[in-house]
Amino acid sequence: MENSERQKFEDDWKSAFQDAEQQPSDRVWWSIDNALTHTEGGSMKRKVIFYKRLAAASVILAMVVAGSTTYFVNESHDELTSEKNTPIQPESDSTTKPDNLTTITGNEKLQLTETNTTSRTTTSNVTSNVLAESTSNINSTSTIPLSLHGNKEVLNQQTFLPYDASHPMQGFALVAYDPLADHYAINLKTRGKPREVTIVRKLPAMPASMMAESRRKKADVKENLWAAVNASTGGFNSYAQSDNTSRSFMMASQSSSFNNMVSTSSQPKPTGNSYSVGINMGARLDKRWVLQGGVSYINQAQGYTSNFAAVGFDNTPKAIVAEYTGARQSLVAITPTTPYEINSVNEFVSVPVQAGYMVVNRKFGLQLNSGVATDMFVRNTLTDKSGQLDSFSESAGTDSPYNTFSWSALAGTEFSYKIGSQYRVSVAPGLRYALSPMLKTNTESTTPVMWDMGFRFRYIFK
Amino acid sequence: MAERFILSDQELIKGCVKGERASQEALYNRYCRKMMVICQRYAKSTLEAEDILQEGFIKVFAAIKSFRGDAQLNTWITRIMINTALNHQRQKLYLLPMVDVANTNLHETEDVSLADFNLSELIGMIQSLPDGARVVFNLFAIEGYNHKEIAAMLEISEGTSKSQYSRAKSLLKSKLENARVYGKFGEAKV
Repeated sequence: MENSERQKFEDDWKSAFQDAEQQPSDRVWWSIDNALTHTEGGSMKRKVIFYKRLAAASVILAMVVAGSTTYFVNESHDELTSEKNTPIQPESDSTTKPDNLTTITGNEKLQLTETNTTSRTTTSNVTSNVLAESTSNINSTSTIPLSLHGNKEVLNQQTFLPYDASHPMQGFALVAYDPLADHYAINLKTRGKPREVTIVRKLPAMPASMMAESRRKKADVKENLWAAVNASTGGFNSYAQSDNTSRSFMMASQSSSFNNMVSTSSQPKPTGNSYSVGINMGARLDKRWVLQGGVSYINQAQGYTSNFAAVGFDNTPKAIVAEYTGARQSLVAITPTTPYEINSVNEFVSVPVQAGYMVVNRKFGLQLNSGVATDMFVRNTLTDKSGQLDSFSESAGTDSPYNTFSWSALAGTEFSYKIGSQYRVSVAPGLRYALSPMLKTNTESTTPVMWDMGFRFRYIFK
Repeated sequence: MAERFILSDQELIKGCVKGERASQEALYNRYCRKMMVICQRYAKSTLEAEDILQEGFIKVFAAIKSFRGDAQLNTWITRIMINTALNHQRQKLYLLPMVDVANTNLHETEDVSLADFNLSELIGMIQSLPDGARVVFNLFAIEGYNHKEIAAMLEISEGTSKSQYSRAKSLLKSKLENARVYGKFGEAKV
């Protein structure tokens, strides 16, 4: 029945589409590639996100610690300055002093001034009842005279100093007194002339830990010059999956399997890995400011997928990517292949110069670094991962698609720990932002941001 | 030299199972043109066809671990593409469900040879069909399913499938006749 339904009409249509083919646009593969990267790159992404967040958290932590430390240090400094400049003197003029107050000696007079008008102070006469007098004079005056009675070697003066947590510490004075002095007075022997006994104790203007730190700073002043070796590993993003980086060009095919002009392309992976090793020197310019410089070798590796190969003068096929379209004169021919994976390695020598701010410089150190680096391109090596094609290497030069020099901005944090008196090890998460493009054909860098985690070993010169 | 890189389907499948992007791209390049035609037959436009193709290949790469080689790789991918295309069409058919249409036997036309038309013209004619008729025509005339199978696939009655096909057939014959008489640009062929 069904077979009978199928007539010549259906068979014609079926045969018309039997071997029909139509080329879809490049957009389709790029979208598929994006989707595959998104789904299968989960673990890699998690690692990348972890390092990014770690670096960001480190920078934020460093900034918070630096800010709060600077704030408290400045506060303490202001308090000290204020204390030094403010003698313990009455606010009121001496001419306003009541006549019935007796001074201790001619010009030796201790008056304690309270600037807070709501605080309770007491004035009493030496001969009056202590408690009665003091009670009656609460809130009466802010000037507290002290006097000495007869030959008793006591201060028969009661002073109630209010506890006020909000009161600033400067100018705070405590006067010792003995409330049972009247009872003991009979038994006290007089020796010589009466003497004034005044104990004034200043409370510390800064926490003890900070006082200890300032003492320690004096011991640490020798950490002025150091040399270090460092190594770091990290990663970077490229503009992968965008139309700009999937570089392609049309070329005449030399293979019979391609009928017309063939679109060849090479597409970079969205992320790459990097490592660096180097040495640097550092010097302290100020209590907290340092200058560091050195030289590093940087190796950046990134994967590509390419669908063409190059044949050099030695007549061997080599792995190649589309960035080398400008350098094709050094190649005999380019021929299409099935897509294959390439490992592209860029090597640089970098000369960084950084200014650092020591937020904490104790046994544990915290330092913020920022600066620039001059990156000198050494070479790029393209290696076919399957090993079927020869590697292709391109160094710097006029024919090279790479710029010989490029610039990067650096920012990072350094958490260090001092070992003994001359060594310090540190962990240094950092970011490197490319200020200029690596490729001559680009106006912007394809790998703008690198992040890494560095390890440093510092030797401190005596 | 390019020949040394031509891999077999089995080698490509192995690479795809490992998640190698080069193998995935090679597999895509090998089958994308053929699958594009299938998608174009089911879609209303080239843009929609590319969306179906993209979604279909993502499903292929996700499910390739389950491919055991019982069928040819080409057949397996084609089935995934058709299912993806039907899913696209089901959304439209849900909004505009297929119903029995009058068996409008248009005037009998003489058979027109499809060889007079190129691929793009034939695809254009199919794409101009109403959604339901287009799907049934593809499944019956080109894929070779019978109406019972089509009814089960699209969750419609067998009668609806037959009437939709009849409508598609009439419309296509009419388009072919018009194209033969008036040409692509509406001018009568000499």
